[in-house]
Formats: sequence, C-alpha cells, structure tokens
Amino acid sequence: MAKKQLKIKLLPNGEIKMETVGIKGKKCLDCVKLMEILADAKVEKQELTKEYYEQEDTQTYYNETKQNIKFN
Amino acid sequence: MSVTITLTPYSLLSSVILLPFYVGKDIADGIKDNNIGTKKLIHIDEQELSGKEFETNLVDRDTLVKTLLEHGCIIEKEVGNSVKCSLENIQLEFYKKNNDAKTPYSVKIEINNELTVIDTDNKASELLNDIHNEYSINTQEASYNKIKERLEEKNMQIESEEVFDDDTIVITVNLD
Repeated sequence: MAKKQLKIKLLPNGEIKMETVGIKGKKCLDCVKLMEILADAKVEKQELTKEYYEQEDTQTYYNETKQNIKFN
Repeated sequence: MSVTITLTPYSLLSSVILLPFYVGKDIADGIKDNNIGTKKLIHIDEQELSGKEFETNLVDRDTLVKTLLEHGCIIEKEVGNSVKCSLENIQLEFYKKNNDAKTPYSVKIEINNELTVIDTDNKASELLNDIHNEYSINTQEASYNKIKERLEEKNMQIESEEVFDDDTIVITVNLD
C-alpha cells in the first residue's frame, strides 16, 4: 500500500505548493486546512485529481480540535 | 496525489514578483500588450524613475527591513510601517497607504544625480528588482522555518528534505 504523505514545495519566488500522496477521497482536503495553518498562507489554487474521486480513506489526517494527529 | 494546492504566504500580496513598470527594452517574459496578470505595465526610462511612486507586492515590514539590510541599503528612518533607505545615490521610501497589515507597500524613488556614484552600474530599476527577488527568497526561508517549527509542534514526522538546483525546497511529511 502506498505511503500517505504530504509533499510541501517552497519555491524561491515565495510561492508554496502542496500535494497529497497516497490519500484517496475527500479526506485529502483535511490537508488543505492543515497547510494554511502550517504556512500562514492563503490558498490561491486547488486542483483535484482522479484519486480524489476514488473510494475514500477512513483515516482522519487533521482535526482542528486536537493537538496531535489521531488516527482511527 | 489527490489534491494539489498553491498557496501564497501572507507576507506577499501575490507570488508574482513584479513591479508595474519595465525599463528600456528589457521586457519580462509573459508580458503581452503591456499587461501581466491584472497589472498594467508602463514603459519608463531609468531617468524618469526619480520622483515616481509605485505599488509593490511586498507586505511584511520585518522581511522588508531584513532584505534591505542584507542588500547593503542604509536604513535612514523607520516610523511605524514606513521605511526610508538609501544605496549610493538612490533613495527609496516604502510606505503603506493605510494601517492595515495586509496592505502592500508602495515605494517612492529619488535619484540624486549630483552625487558621485562609485558603482556606475547601480540603477534604481535593478535595485528594485533585486529587492523584490531577495524579499521573495527571504519569504521562502521564513516559510521553511515556520513550517518546520509547526510540524514539530504537531509531532508530524519529516521523511525527507531536498533542495533542488532552482533553489526549490521540498519537504516530505509522513501521514501514516
């Protein structure tokens, strides 16, 4: 099974790009909010790929009410 | 991947580092019909820059001051958000049109042609472009430090870090 990861790219023009790897379904959108908080940045563009439309993962990757990441 | 997002740090108005003018025949790539994005570009000669004021996409005061000092500018005055500095015979005054922290800086340029300049290649347009480029690199550094610190606070494991030839930094974080 593919590793579930977040790839954060910091470009020299100041821009930040983030992509999720190995996460299927809408759960990947948890990472969008996480990224805004990690980087003090605003989302300019969002692209959903075919994995987004595949069967959803059941794990929770980020929960605003909890200090640490908890997994089901 | 399932989602790709592009973000701009709050210290930058937009990630397109561009002043609203171009000097001489040097036209940046992507300019069509004197427009790039939503900005209208104007053609201006180097000599005409003195006395002119332009809006920049620089937002953060601390990053701006750091950038100016690293470039060798002498900070002459700082009042609130305003920063006045000089390099050789070029004086720049950065100011915000209102007190909103998210308002980008405007810059006023003064060139003293009566001063003897040691580096005759030092031009106001190049100085401004250099400041914009170096500000964005400082923004990258600040983002890197902030992200690493917050990942550690959240006990998130960093799998790897890479720096590429184009100075892009990639941090891979495990979510498992």
